[in-house]
Amino acid sequence: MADEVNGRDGKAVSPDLPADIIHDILVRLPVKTLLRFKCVSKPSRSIISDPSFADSFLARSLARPAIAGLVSIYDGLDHQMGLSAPIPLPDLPPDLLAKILKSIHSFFILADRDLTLVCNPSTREGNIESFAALGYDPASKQYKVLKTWILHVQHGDEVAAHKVLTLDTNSWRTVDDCPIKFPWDDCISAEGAIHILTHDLMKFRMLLPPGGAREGKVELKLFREHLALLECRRSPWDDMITMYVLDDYGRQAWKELRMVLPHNNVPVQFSTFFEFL
Amino acid sequence: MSSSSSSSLPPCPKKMITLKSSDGETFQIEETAALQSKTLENMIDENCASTPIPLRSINGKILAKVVEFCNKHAEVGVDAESLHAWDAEFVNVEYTTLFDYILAANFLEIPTLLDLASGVVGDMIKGKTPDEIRKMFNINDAFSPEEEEEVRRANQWAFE
Repeated sequence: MADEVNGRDGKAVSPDLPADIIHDILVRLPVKTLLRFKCVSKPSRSIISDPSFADSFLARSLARPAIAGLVSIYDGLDHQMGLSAPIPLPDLPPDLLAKILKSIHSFFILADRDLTLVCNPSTREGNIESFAALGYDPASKQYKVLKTWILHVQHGDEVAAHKVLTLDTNSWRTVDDCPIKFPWDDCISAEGAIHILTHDLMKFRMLLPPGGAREGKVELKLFREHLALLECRRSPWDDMITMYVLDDYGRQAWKELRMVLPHNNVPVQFSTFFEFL
Repeated sequence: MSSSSSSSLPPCPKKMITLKSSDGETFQIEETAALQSKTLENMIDENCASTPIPLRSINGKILAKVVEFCNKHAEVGVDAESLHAWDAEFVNVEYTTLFDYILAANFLEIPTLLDLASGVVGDMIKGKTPDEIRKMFNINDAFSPEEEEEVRRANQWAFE
């Protein structure tokens, strides 16, 4: 009954849609379609490439249930579990035995001993760099990279230099008086600052970890733009994952979230949150 | 025995609104159904709805469908599943018609219709090549062949 007569084989000329409607149509499409749409024309490329489009696209993706993005990767990229779809990756060096060290939004950092790779599996862009760590600052909407060099060893202590690269501007800034010794366990940027998890507590801002978390057994994460610590306790029948989310940064109030996953022989220690874009 | 027990019906008679399309057709719609449109709601609020409301950007063919959509979505007691099926049938049309629905829904501010039609247009884009998308959106200012080759190469996997 809803048959409309518009001429055969598309002879009818379609009316022009306003730009904001095209924006709304595109923002709900998967990345692959968007990349194809980018190739249509210069205006269509500029819609997709516009930072405001990326913002609304990201906001939409983040609004989806986050538990869908809990992934474990162990010993190489071919072993992925707990996921409905495998992660597409850019071409990697064939002998790369990479672990996903960190992911923020759709960016990943992969690491193979001294080699580090930053890639975006959603767009399949990847660059091999000698980065150390990646963080996203939601306030300025910038991705930041922290790099550390060991300068020398003094009285048995390593002395390190730290520099922060802002990906947008490509500018390096030296971090002075950084109290952290190399190597640190985890690094993330949130609330306008880079946060680092050392072996027993986060020293950079001297944030106190939540009371329930066990020392040395947690991973630092970014969860919906909040700092979060992820802890896994294993039993023979299930794995309990506890996530402590720093809900109120100013008052350092941590909220505790628990998930129980069926037990798996693969350790969950490389768990990482990422958003499917 | 169908109309004998009318005690539960609201006492006031149904208020009707008249809409006039760009090509002069008029349509009657119940106020409750018309209220799904923010634009019509404002007009009704301002009390300027006693005479037919002229809608110069919407032709009779499309306005008839929009009225049909609003009536269906104002029906009481329709379960979600059958409404979903009805919606799917409603948007099972050529994309040019979908564009007309989108423009009408945008002008009348009917979010349910805008959302529905936009979603279907999005699904149509998913399976299309750049050439087909160009045709769909009336895009004539394509890249030069060299530029297109370059953009395509940069996003090669999206075409696999």
